[in-house]
Amino acid sequence: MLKIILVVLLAFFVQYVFKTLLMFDIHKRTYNHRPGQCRKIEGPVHGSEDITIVDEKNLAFITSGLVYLNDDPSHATWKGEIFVYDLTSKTFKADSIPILNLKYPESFHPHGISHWIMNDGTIRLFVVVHSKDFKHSIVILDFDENKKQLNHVNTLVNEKFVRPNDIVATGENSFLVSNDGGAQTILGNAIEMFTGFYKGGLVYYDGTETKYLLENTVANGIILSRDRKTLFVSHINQETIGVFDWNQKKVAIKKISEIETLTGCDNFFVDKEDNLWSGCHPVLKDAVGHLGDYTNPSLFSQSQVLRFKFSSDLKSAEMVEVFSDDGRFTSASAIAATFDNGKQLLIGTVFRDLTHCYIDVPLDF
Amino acid sequence: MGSQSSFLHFMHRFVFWVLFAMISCFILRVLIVLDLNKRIYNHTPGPCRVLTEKFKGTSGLAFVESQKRVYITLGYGKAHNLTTNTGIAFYNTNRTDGRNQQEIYDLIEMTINWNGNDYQNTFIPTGIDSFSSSNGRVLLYVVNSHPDHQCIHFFQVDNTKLNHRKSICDSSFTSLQDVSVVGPDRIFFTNMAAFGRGWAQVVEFALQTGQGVIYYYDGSKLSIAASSVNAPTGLGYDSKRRILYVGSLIRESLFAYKVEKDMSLEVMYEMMLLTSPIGLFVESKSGDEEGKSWVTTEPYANDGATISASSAIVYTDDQMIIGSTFGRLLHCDLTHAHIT
Repeated sequence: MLKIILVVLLAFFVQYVFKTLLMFDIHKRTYNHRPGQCRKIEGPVHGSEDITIVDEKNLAFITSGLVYLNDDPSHATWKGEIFVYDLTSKTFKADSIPILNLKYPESFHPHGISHWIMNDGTIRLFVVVHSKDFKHSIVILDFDENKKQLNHVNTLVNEKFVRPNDIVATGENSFLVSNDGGAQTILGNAIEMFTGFYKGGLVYYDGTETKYLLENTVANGIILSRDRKTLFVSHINQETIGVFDWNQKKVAIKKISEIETLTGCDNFFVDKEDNLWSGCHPVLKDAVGHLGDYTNPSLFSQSQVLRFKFSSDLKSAEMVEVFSDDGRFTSASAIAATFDNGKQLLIGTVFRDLTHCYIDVPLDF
Repeated sequence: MGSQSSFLHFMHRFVFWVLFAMISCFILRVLIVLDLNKRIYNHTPGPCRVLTEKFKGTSGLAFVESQKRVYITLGYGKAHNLTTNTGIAFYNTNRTDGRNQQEIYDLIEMTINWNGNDYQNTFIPTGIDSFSSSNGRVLLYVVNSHPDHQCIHFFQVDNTKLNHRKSICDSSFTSLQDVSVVGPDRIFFTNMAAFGRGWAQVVEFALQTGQGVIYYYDGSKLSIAASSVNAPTGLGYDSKRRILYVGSLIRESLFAYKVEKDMSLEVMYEMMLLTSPIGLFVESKSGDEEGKSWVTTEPYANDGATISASSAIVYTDDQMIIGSTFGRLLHCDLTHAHIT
């Protein structure tokens, strides 16, 4: 009897080790290719983790200076910034814009970002913010187009913002926010990853109250389709994308499908043709190494840009790999956004610079 | 008696655990090789089109710079009991010779003059390479992969005709794959596995015993240049640097061998591709002087809907031709040259 128990435990241990090795992608690598001419954009050097594109104004807002699972606050010597990039200019330069009336400017380290066009035409930004000691809040900023500055509107702190990652605006004062885990330390996050008991989820804020929509999962990038009826959620550690019906009146989601990507897709962008774009981490072991010691320039990890074209019933998707790099040019891609009718591409990274590419190749087969 | 039985008991347990560990490692390695957590993400380097789907196999390609032709072996699937014609054709990459838009994509099938030899019925070409002499003569070296007639056929090109010159056949040839030319009638070629096909070959691959061979033929004598190679497939030769590149199907890697003056091979390094290379093409314009630093680029990827099991590739003049083991031949334009 004892022998049987030991053999069963041994079998479980062996298969657990094997699955963990596969999860860390020990025998994967990237094969470089670009969709056209690519170059760096001057400006962000400490990250370009998320991008929101305001088509109406031909502007891209880029978060930079992320702090993540920071066990040592003094380690974060860089400044959190929001860059604005004029998509019609040919200067390939993004400008850091001042943020006025922040109560604690040194605690502003932005992560996910989303925008909403208000009735009077003002661009309102919703930003996931961490402090140097990894406390979380949602900061609402209004963009003053004439003065090229951001005015602080509100800072929201809530117990349900457990470890917020990305955000998608659903109104002037409402949004969906994703929690990508529950642990607040590197060790806790490692335990969460190795055990598979994830404490992340999805939270809706309606302007006064918060409500859980998903719990006990990993939710990284989130975005709504152009018609605001479909919600896409990146379950990055499970290497899948969840597709949900989103009913804003009822504040309810209903699961449609789960797309298996076999790569860690981070943040999302939806283009004008309702294709989903994502910056992904194809090799997890290198991503963990780079993201765990992100000030070390000799550590880098692979980048991958995927475009998903969904079937009409949203149950399957065709994947095209638009960009792939082993990390020496673009390290740890997190977001990919297209503009100029799909002819140009911005690739943001978690802790490094911003890449701009032209798309000169066909994306349909 | 007591000590002997306890020793036997210990030996039984020891043998059990050693066997358990070996079997576990074997199973894990097989699972890793099967690429369970990998997938293909489609992309192209530019517009693509199918050149032919008449043949079950377009698995060998060779580019002849002096003629601006790509020679293609056709019908490898016949070696695996698929119904298909076999032969050799060429594609003219010249875009400025006056042909119209339709003729540009024509594939020209070649007639073969066997000079009296009865080889037509067993002709299943796969790997191919070429040699161009200074007087304009173009020689082709073709791997014949018929299960009962594994040979290297030597041809000379006569416009749209091939004249058979000679053949090397040997009973030790069981699974010839590819050939690489280092001089007139001087060739390296690969025998992928000791067992030609069927379950024996599958078991050989699963055990990863590494019984492949690289042969060298100097124009008159056949010799073994490298033995105990793990499933060697495609060959590519960099004549400037005298480096022979050998793909390994099972190790998912590329070996680089230095070709010495006496044509012996010395291993320089192994490049882990983590994907199984079948056909190799050495681009003459790229690569650094030492031949050691490298960046892996993937210009084209497809999940099988357009072209399945790609096995050969030629890249020239902003064009790329992709062959496949049992299927179509694809032609792509490279709309930009940033394959870095």
